[in-house]
Amino acid sequence: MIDRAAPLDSLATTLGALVRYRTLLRKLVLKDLKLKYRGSVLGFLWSLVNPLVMIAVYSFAFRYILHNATQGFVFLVLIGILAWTFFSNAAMMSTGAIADSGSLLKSVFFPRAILPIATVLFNLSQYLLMAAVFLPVMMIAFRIPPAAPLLAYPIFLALQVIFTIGVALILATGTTFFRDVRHLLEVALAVLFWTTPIVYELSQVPARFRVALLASPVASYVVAYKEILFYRRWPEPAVWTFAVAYAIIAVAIGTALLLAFEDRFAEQT
Amino acid sequence: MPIVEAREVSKRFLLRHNPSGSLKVHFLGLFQRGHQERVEEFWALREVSLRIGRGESIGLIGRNGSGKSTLLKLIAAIHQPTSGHLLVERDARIGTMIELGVGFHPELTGAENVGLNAAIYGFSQPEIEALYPAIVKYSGLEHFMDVPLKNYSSGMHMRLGFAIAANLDPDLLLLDEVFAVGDQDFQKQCIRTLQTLQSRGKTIVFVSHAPAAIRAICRRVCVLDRGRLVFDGDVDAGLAMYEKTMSAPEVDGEPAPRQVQTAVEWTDAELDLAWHRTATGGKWRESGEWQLEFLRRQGLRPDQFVLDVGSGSLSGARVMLPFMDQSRYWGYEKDRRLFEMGVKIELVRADVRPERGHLIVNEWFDLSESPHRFDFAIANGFWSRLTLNAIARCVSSVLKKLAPGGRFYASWVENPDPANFEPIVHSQGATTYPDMEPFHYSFDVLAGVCRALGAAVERVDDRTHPRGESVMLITRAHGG
Repeated sequence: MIDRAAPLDSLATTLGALVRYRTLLRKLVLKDLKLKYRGSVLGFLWSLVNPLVMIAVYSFAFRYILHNATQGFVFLVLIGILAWTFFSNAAMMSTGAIADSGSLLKSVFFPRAILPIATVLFNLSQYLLMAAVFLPVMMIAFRIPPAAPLLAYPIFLALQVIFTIGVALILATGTTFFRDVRHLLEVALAVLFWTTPIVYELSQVPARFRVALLASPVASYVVAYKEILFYRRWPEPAVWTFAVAYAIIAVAIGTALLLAFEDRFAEQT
Repeated sequence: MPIVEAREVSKRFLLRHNPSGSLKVHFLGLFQRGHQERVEEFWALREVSLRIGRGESIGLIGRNGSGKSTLLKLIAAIHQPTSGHLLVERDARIGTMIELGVGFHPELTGAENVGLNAAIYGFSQPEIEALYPAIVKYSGLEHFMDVPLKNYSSGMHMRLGFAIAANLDPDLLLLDEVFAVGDQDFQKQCIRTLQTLQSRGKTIVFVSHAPAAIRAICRRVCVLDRGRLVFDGDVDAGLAMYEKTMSAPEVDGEPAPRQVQTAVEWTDAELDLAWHRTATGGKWRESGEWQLEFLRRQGLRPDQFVLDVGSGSLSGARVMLPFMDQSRYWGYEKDRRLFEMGVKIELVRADVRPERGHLIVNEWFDLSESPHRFDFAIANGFWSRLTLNAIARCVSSVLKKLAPGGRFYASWVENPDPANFEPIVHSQGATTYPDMEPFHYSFDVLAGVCRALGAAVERVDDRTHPRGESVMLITRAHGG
């Protein structure tokens, strides 16, 4: 017998439940993908337009207004934009993952963590689709042959996924209790966009600010991708350290918050 | 073993006035009282105890806000109890039909929605694929499975939702008013399906306001009123009781349980089918009256101390409290639920004040609360609810509390043959068992237990017990 009054949401039971509900996880991701592209003529092509337009705008602004002539600017910005879009879209979507699922939470039991995790995986799948199209094209266009540091790419991507899941759990739980989290996030994303080396390079930053900038939560991942994909270098130890640390911290806080408040979601929404 | 067991389960919801969910309210609340979030408690369930056996079909009825849906949601793990224990069999697969087609998305096709919905209920891809044909067939929507749900009528929507829930084959099915909507044909189909599930041994807990549906599906009814379980028993009596709670006046704010109970007038015939009366073996009123008459024949006087061991729902207390002098009657009961039904319903109804005596409730036969030694003790039918070890503990506890020359009478269902280990069907229609409630015991076995505890035992030649139980007398062996 299980006692419903006993707190059953230990980390182990939650992980076990996630494994048992993996079909649900997959179907939720597929649902979002289908809903996004069904009924539009160009479908997936629209996803490619967005980063292209952004690159065009930033190229114009940086090249012709600010006269910044970084080598490989287009590719570098693309790498940054893709990684950033993954993070920021997942973060925005996750705020509603639990708060906007009231009727579902009130009528069926399933592990609540599934919802924010599904939003992250949906955005990851979007990222992968776009990366699969753009990265090979760019590597050919810029004549960058594959090199050993490419092996670090899946590692950093995995770290970013873990980090983003952690953030999503925090935001999903937070929004359930305080709807303001959404507005706070919008402000935070605007700041984070410019404190992350997306449209500029870490090397262009005055040396005394570099570590501080690398400590910006998403910076280490973006810097790593640029190092790996464009400069064909292994990321520096500081980059590894921040990437691992942020992933662990975010997922630890996210999991702790979720476990602490999970049983109140159905009442709050 | 029950599939669900609730022990004094309570659930409190917090109603937030001055709707929060916004930091502004928290922030302004620091400075201005008017902006402070006001939180009001609402007890949706109060100390509800109930057991649901495998294969049972139970109807939960009660007016709106009585806590029916909350109870379902606690069982389904959607909400957590605030206090008490709610035990649910570990591996039981629970199907919830609290809202049909929840999680349906209008843009997805019927087929896609079936997959998603089944996954929400925890099914894996291979399981879903195996169940899919049955779901489609049951819904009768073969030609619409590739059509987005937004083009379905509300009837088709419901049909699909019910088809999924009905075919997921849960061990325990929790339904909340699901076919109040829907046409007659749909309702009939639902009821037929539930009857089929029932015949396959599934457990069904069914919230409804429709007496016809309850009668068609349920063998047992629980009536909730303002969060309390006020009736648990036979369907007809339960529905009658429900009618009466409906006509009882609403009491604003904190419900006063005694008031609520007296506002409802129950007849004896209705109450005889209620759980708290049948759980103690039936013939509730007669048994209580016999208890007093029997003790008086043995010489009980109002100024002596008497202990009613296993006072149950207070059938004995009802007549003994008025008979005995103030504070001379002591009752012991191990099942709090029975005791509470006794105090809240039976004593109120008989207009007997429980303060005339003392009532001890605990599960381990602890009588130390009483400073007295008793001239008489009686266990009337109590042993039908006890295992042999519990009887030994009971006898041992009572012996310690007997005054010199004190006498402990016990009536029990007798098994005439100590070597018989089969159920016995009694002439009055009841069946007793050697290994489950209600128990029967042979005199020799009971006598052996008592003697092992240092007691002297003899049969009492009395054939007047309304349930035909035998009676024995237990005393301390050496006058002690």
